[in-house]
Order: sequence, then structure tokens, then C-alpha cells
Amino acid sequence: MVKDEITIKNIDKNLNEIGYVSNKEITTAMFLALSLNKPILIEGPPGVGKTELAKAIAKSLNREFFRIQCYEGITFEQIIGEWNYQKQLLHLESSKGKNQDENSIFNNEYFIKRPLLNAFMNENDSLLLIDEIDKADEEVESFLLQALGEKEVTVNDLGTFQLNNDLIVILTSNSQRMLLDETKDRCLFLYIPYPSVEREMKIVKSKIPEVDDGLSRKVVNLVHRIRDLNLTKKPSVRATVDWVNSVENLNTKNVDQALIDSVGVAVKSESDKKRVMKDIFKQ
Amino acid sequence: MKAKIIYLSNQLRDKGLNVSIRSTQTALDTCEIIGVNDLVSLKRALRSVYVKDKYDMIKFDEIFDQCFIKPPLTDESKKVKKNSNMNAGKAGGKSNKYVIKKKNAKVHKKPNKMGMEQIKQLSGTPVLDDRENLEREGELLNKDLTKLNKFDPRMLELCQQLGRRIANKRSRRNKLAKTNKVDIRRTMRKNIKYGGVPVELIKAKPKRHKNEHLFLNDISGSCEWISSWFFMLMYSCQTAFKNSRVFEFDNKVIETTDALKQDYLLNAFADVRTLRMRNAMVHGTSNMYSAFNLFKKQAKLNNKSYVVLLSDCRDWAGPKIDGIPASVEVLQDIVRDSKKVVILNPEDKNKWDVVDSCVSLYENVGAKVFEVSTLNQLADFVVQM
Repeated sequence: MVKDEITIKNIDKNLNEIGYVSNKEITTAMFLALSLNKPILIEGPPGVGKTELAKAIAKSLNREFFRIQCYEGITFEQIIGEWNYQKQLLHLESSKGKNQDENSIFNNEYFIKRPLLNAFMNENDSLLLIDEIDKADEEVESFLLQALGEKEVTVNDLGTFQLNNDLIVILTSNSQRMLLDETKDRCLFLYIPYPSVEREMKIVKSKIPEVDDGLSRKVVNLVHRIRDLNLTKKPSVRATVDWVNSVENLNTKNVDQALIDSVGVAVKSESDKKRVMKDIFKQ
Repeated sequence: MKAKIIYLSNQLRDKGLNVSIRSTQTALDTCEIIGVNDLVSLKRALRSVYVKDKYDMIKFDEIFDQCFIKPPLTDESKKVKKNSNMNAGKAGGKSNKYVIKKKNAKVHKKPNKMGMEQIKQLSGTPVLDDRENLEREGELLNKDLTKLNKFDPRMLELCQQLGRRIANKRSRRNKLAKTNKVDIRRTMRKNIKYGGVPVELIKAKPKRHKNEHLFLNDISGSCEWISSWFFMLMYSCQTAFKNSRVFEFDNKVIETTDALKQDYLLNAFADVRTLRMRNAMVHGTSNMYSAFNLFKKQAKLNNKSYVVLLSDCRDWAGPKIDGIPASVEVLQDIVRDSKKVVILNPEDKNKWDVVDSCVSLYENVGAKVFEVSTLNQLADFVVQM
């Protein structure tokens, strides 16, 4: 798909072909991100397909995929790159006595590039996923503002790098902390909630095409009832797919018993499990 | 279209959404790309431009409908409408009363239904009856808890989230404290064989802190509400405190530590309510003299005890000696016996030391007093603890 052909319909079709079940909300937001060339911030509970969407878009547009997985304590060096001190020291040692400019050790050759810079410098069109941005510290988020808003990155002693390709930036967040207003302002916003029963059925079908419709409907309905309980951790879409898979693999005639036996696939804590057994399975 | 978009931006700003000039510009670009004929698609697209928080989606939808589906009345159209209404009245076909009633019913019913469905779609967020009061998480966290006059289930959810975050932060801080220190003595000894060049660094073994945190919450009428929130916060971050005990007082003291071990917060809270009722501690008046004395006996304080007292420092029913509350002396004993005593006061600082508030008296005997009235302030304090 080339840029001229980007339409809401095409995006929807391509995502479907790759196996990502989209909806109008998702497709419209992605269409805008591509057309306006703006970063997009995707929020939603864990396991609803935020990261998967970024991967699917990269695949459908045939773009190179770069990923920054954020966590508490991630530093600029891990995002943008760092100086190769050992190589610089070796160079200085080897050039002792020679009349060489000391600044020569501050060039590209001595700089180890990390995902952000790699994505910026790449000659081919790329997609950069900044995953779970809410886990990173505010300093890192502020640092990313330049990249998100002005499409350039500044590295100390090395200079400012302009964007070399048509880069799409996708940020995901689980709302663990409030993001900066400045970050939100630079991005389009897409909230992906837990899917409706019908969409979740389609997702299960796309992941496990050979699954029996009756079984998948049963599991999806069950998961929706579980999500209505006030649990510590609600089952994700990933959990629904895994649960259907588990019941299939148990290969027993008594589906209800298989569902009970494999409930741990969807419910991840002992206290939640007790509650589900009591309120849903009446045990 | 430009005028309409600017009007929409202004309306959204009036309703409390952060709409920048950049957003307005993006919205104009969006209109060019999407077109204005298909309003459903345009609404969907503009939602992703203007809305930056899931709780603002409902507000946006309403304002978009007002601007695009039901355009605002200009002065001229208002005049025309007024005249036509007057004429309708004169014609005598239908009464004005009927028309207005019917219109109102339409305006209120439809968005309410849509709104509730949409909130429900934001799964994970409990449904509120009063959607006008949907606020963003940031606003809720900074809301004065003492001024809350109704129970908002989302506060409960936020409180739990905040508690989990505190536990994460504290455990990360503890891990860093354990791993980043170098044991200089052992490093030097180890590196003698390299001629004193520190080739191998020996990390210090973590010191075992045996601090015990004792939380004493005032549940007399004036503090009951904030004490409940504090209990919920403590429930959610209890894993971060290895040795902690929780007490509640008005003129008696009860220990509620066991309630923290419940699997669910609501069950834990129900347990605490039962304990309070059993001990006739509902809307009581505080007698800090007797409460502190009882606490001293029950808690068995030592130099590793860290006492956190949540109270407005108003000793209503306590005895006084020469006009000074007797509880001051007991608190002095508690300060002496423990490592540190901190008082979290939910009252506004302007009200401290007014009438029967004895903040200064408590400070004079060594307690540190902090103003804490929002969930964020509470959380910040617990992180620093």
C-alpha cells in the first residue's frame, strides 16, 4: 500500500488481511495519524491489542519496525544511544604521539545508536513503537517531545539529527501515571477499551481459525461476565484467546469442566480465582 | 468550517478540556481530509484530535453534537424562533407548555442513554449515575477529601491504583538502596592483589531495617472520612511495609491490622466497620488522652517504632490540666519511646491552633505535623515514609 492509496477502507482491509480485527474508531485514528503524519497515543487496559496494532500497521504498510520498551529507570542512553567509551579510549591510546584532533573521537563512528536514532536515521520508511511510555520517568518523556513535535533529535557533542524517512510514531500507555500535557498535545489520541462480544469473537476466530463457534462464544461470554466482577486484574483479550486454546487442547467432552480446569489461564490471582469460582461457576 | 471548528475549540475549552492552538489547526486539517459531509466519521476523527483523556470522550460527543448536529442559535435565528413560537401560541394549535416539555424530554433522554453506554464501554471504570460530574483522574487525585460529600467509586479504584504504585516505587527504591552501595573497606582489601587498583568492586550487603510502622487513625466525626481513605491507601500498598500495624481511635483504641489481610478491599473495609460498631465507635468524639494511653499500652513502642497519626489534633473530650490538654503529656511519652512521630492533619493550615486545635502543643513535644487533604498528598507522604 503506497501513501496515495491510504484510505480508511484500505487500512481496515489490510489490517484484516494481517489478522488484526479493527473497528471504525481504530481505523479512523490510524488513518489520521498516517495522513497528518502525527504521532498517536494509544491508551487502554493491558492486553487489548495496543502493541499488536502497531505491529500490524508496520506489517501492512511494509515499514521497518523499531521498538522502545519503556520501564521505570530507562535512560536517554538506552533510547537514543551512547558513546562507545572503550573504542574512544583505544583510539586515543593508538593515536598517542600522532598529531590528531581530539574531536575526532566525537563522531558517528564512536556512537552506538539505539532504537530512536536508528528509526530517525533509517533510509526506508519506518514505524517506531514507544511501548508503555507511562512506565518511563517524566524526564524521558520530556526528552521525547522534540522527537515527537519537531521530528528531530539532538545528541550532545554530536549535533541534531533530522528525520530521514516518513516515520510513524505510536505510543502506548496503560495509564499507570498521568502523561505530560505537552506529550498529549503533540499526539492524536485513541482509547481502546475491552472489545464487544462480537469483536472479541472475531479476534478469537482470527487467532484460532479452526475453533468451534459455540466454544468461542461460550468463552467470550464467560470472560465478559468475569470482567464485570470487581477483580484485581481483569482478563485480557490475550487471555480469552489462550483460554479458548487451552480448552481446545484439553480435548475433553465436558467443556464446562475443561473451562473450570483451565480458569487460571484467564484469572491470574488466587483471590480473583476464588471469586470467579463462587460467582460464575457457583462452586 | 473554520468558524465552526474555532467555535468547537472554544466550547471544549469552556468545558474544561485542554485544547491548544495546535489541536485547532490539526482539527482544520482533519476536516479537509475527512470532509464535512459524513458527520459520523468527522466526529470520530475529531475525537482523536481533541480528546486526550478517556473521561473527556462523553463531554466531547455532547459538545460536537451541539455544534454540528444542532448548530448554536445566532441572534437572528433566535428572533425568528421566538416569533414563530409566539405565532404558534396565537394560532392556538398547541400550547407552548407542551412544546417546551416535549423538547426538554428529547434533549435529556438521548444523550443520557448514549453516555451511560459509552462509560460502560470504557470497561474497568465503574458507571456513575451523575455523568455531569465525570472528572479526570488528575482532578480527582487532587480533590480535597474532607470536602467530598458523596462516595465516588472511581476514587476507590484510583486509591487502589495509587497504592499499587506506591508499593512499586518503594520496592524499587529499596532495591536501588541495596545494590548501589560499594563497601570501600572490603573493596580495598580485595584489590590489594592488583596493587590497589579497584578492579573488583564489592557491594555492601543490605542493612536489615527492622522499622515498624504504626498507623493510628482518628475516626471521630471530623476525621472519619479521610481516615477511611487512608485505610484504603494503606490496604493497597501494604506489601511495601513489612511490619505495620493499624489502629483506630476516638475515645477508645481498636487494632484493625487483621482487616488488611482480607482478599478484597471492600471486605476489609466492611470488617473495619463491623469492628467500629462492635466497639461503639461510630461518629464518636475524640478523647486523645485516653486513646493515646491505650495506644501506648497496646503498641509496645520501642526505638524502631515509626508512629503515623492521622488526626485533626482536636481533643474535644480529653481532660485538661491548667488549660492544656493532658494528651500532650502522653504524646510526649510516645515521642520519647518511639523513633519518630508524624501527624497528618487533614485540616487547612489556617485552622490550626484555632479554638481547641492543639497542633503547636503537639509540635512542641516533638511530633512533626503535615497538612494532608488530598489523595496525592497522602500518597506523596507514604512514598517518602
